[in-house]
Amino acid sequence: MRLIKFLNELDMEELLELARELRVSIFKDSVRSYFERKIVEKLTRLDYLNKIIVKLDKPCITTLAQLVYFGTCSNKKYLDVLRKKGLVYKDMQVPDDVKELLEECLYPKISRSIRKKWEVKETPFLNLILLIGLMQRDEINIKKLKNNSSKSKIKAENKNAYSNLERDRDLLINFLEHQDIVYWKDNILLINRPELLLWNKKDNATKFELLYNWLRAKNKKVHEMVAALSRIQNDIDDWIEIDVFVEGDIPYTKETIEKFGLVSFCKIKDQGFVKLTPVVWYCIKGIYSSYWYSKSILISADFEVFIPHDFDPNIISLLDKYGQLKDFDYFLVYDIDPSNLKKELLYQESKSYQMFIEELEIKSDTMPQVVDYELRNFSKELSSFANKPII
Amino acid sequence: MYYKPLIVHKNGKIFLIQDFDNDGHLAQKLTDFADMIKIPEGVSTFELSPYALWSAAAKGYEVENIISFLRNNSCNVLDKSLEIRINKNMMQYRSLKLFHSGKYLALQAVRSEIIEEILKKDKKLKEIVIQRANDCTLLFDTSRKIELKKQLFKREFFAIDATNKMGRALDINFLKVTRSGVDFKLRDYQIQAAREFLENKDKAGGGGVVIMPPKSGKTFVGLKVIGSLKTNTLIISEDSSSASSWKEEILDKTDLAEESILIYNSDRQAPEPITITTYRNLATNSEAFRYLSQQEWGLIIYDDAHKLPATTYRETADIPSKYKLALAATLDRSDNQGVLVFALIGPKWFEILPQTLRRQGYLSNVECREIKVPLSEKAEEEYLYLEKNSNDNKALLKVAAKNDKKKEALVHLIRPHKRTVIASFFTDLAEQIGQDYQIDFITGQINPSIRLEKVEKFNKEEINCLIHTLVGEQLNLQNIDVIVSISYQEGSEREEYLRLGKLMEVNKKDYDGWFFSIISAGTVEEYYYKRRRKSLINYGYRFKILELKDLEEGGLSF
Repeated sequence: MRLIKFLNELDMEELLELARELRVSIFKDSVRSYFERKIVEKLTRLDYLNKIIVKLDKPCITTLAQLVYFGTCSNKKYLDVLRKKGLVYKDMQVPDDVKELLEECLYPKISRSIRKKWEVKETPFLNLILLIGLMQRDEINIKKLKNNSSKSKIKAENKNAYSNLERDRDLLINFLEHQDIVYWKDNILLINRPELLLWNKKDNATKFELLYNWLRAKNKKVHEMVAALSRIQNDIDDWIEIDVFVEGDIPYTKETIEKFGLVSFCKIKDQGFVKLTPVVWYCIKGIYSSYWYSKSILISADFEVFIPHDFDPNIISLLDKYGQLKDFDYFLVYDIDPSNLKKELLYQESKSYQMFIEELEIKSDTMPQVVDYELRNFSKELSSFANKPII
Repeated sequence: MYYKPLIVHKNGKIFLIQDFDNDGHLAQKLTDFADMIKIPEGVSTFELSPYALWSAAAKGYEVENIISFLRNNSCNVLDKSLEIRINKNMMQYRSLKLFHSGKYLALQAVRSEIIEEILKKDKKLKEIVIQRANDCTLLFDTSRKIELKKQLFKREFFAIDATNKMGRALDINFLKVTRSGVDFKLRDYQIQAAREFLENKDKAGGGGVVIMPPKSGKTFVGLKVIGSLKTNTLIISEDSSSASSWKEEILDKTDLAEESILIYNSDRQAPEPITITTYRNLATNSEAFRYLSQQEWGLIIYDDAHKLPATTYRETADIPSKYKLALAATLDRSDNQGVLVFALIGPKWFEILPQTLRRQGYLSNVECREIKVPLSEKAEEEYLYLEKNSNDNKALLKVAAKNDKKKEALVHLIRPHKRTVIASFFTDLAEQIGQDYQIDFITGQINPSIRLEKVEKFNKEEINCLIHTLVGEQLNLQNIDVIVSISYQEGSEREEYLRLGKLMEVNKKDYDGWFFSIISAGTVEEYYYKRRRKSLINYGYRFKILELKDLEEGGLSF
């Protein structure tokens, strides 16, 4: 409902009181419509609203932000102050036209740009990419145990690199079963190759959506948190005050929420902050994170690629396809020496391989000449292999 | 995007972004408490191994020093589990000691739980315990020392070896002017390396390792240590040529009489205050081994210590001595057993990276280029035939090595004003090139005295180009500007590193050394060479790949 409608419903005494509070000039012959018009004029001006907000204390601002973003608040004792200022009507309603402007005024008050040390938050989605890669290359065997959990066996040299998979393995197997990509036979996990092929053809945003829609059913709170945060957060680098969220138990379910890799948390002087991770930014908001445009990939002359774990999953997927994971923590470290690849198996991939080289070039500051030479050489060989007549 | 030089993983891997460390200070600093894994162009990798941290504690580092260094220099948060491990590994220092107790070897811990943990973790070790003397002490047969140290190291228990107590005094002094008439002064880093060993050796039972690149003067560090300890010394070197060069250096730079220095060849010789032998001699001559083991050595120097972990040479670590110094350019071994040097001798007290010495002007920069050449028509025909009919890798390698097209590349690389050495594994190829281009060649078939004449001619700059086979790897060729490798044995990676070391001397005409490897593209030679290249890249050499056509188009200036 718009402000004018709320004002229409006030009695004259209330309207006069509000006009006085907002310092509307009151003349002897002023009529109701005059006051309403003047109040609307004031409360729909950004600079005026900013002046009001500056004078509000912190808990009041938090309550107002909760009303603006969620239509409810966790502490009602500040409502009277906000009503007096003409920002809240009836029980706790903020007029729609004022709400829009308030969002703009409140955002700098509830958000902050924080430079903090980077943390490692592996996500089920990243683990899904890695698990599917392992399955596809037949580098993992999974057995079902009596207690319905699973046990996996991977090559000794891969064990360390993939140790982070453990945490999400059972969850992801459930998901893959749900997608008909895997099935159990005699307690051994088998791949449904045609379904896997179809899965591989999907883009990462779709895969992400499928996974998180499935996970949503398992944890409503995470979904609500992401939905709310994606409404508030305007910029990928902004951290939003956790107090703005009406659900008071968020800090206590932090670990559960973080586990899904959708929201990051940080704390500065007892004040908690949250923000969406780049992958959510991309898959839910549909915006390619500016961070993913950065030249964050490092390449060494030893054919090693160092890619941050929260970087573009499209590139991680390519690396997982054409490289061998050596380490997984803040960086995923891939060995991309093409001599480890089998040309015969990749003859249909020459374009994709070419794209892989281009992505690495774009997203890294420098590619050592040795690496560049060998990758391009391999790419050429793939093209000529693909063009060879089949005898 | 990166705002600090390091990313630290919770498994102890440290990645150093080289753009942040142009002067190499950080890399050098990291060697104090972490193992250098590799330093290829772009990103260097170090590892906080348990032993490196234990050694750092022995050197006097505090847990907080290391953690705050990592925190101050890394972009990411240090994982709590890593901090706990750093603390645990460093606190282990001084918790275990190995010493002689009567006729036994005693392993004593500061707390009984450590002994419990050792016995629980290592059944093999439990089996060789003779007696548990008390809660904190286990007794072993003295002959089990190497086995015990190896097992403890494997299980990440590091003991201070206090079993060595002997040594006899030796009067030895450095000469200010060498016997060959040159003013002699050790370089700062050589003095520092010796000092680090001398100051720290007693903190870990008298042993320790010094790692320095080829051509950086490890022998002088050894001499400085002998000169400071003034004790009778056994030097174990890689081969007879290296043994001779130790003798020459000692004679030239110290006041020791020639009769006090012995190159030990047979089991009938009485050892001298300084006795030099080889790993092979000790491994193959059991009489010599037994005899030298019975002497009361004050110091044993293990030169080229990467040899020591070989199964046949490992026993040499059992020769008793008060102090033990291992000198190495690298501990890399194809069997990954290089770290056993730490278990057998002691912590790494000093390591200096090639880039640090380059920065200080002690080593010159080396530019590496791999030149890929296609097979000539004739070679290709032969290669394809062999590939199809025999798949004999050695035969294929030979065809690839002798590819005629290599000569086309070679002519672009021999410059009259550059002092060039060509290395070939295949003798006939060396001879053929020598004859075709009128280049002096040194092969195993040539009389040793003629070989030395040719070396002298090269060193006196009477000739500027020389081609040699494997036999030439040991020759002391000086002031080389360019090395061209034209044919290869399957794979010694270390051989290539040492070969390259010859280019790193600074007293040559050009500041940059050039290392070219001519490779037949698309062949097994290329496949094998990749391993060598990888190893050189990981030592920090900058490689570029060129093709024959690039040379023909003038794409190489040097």
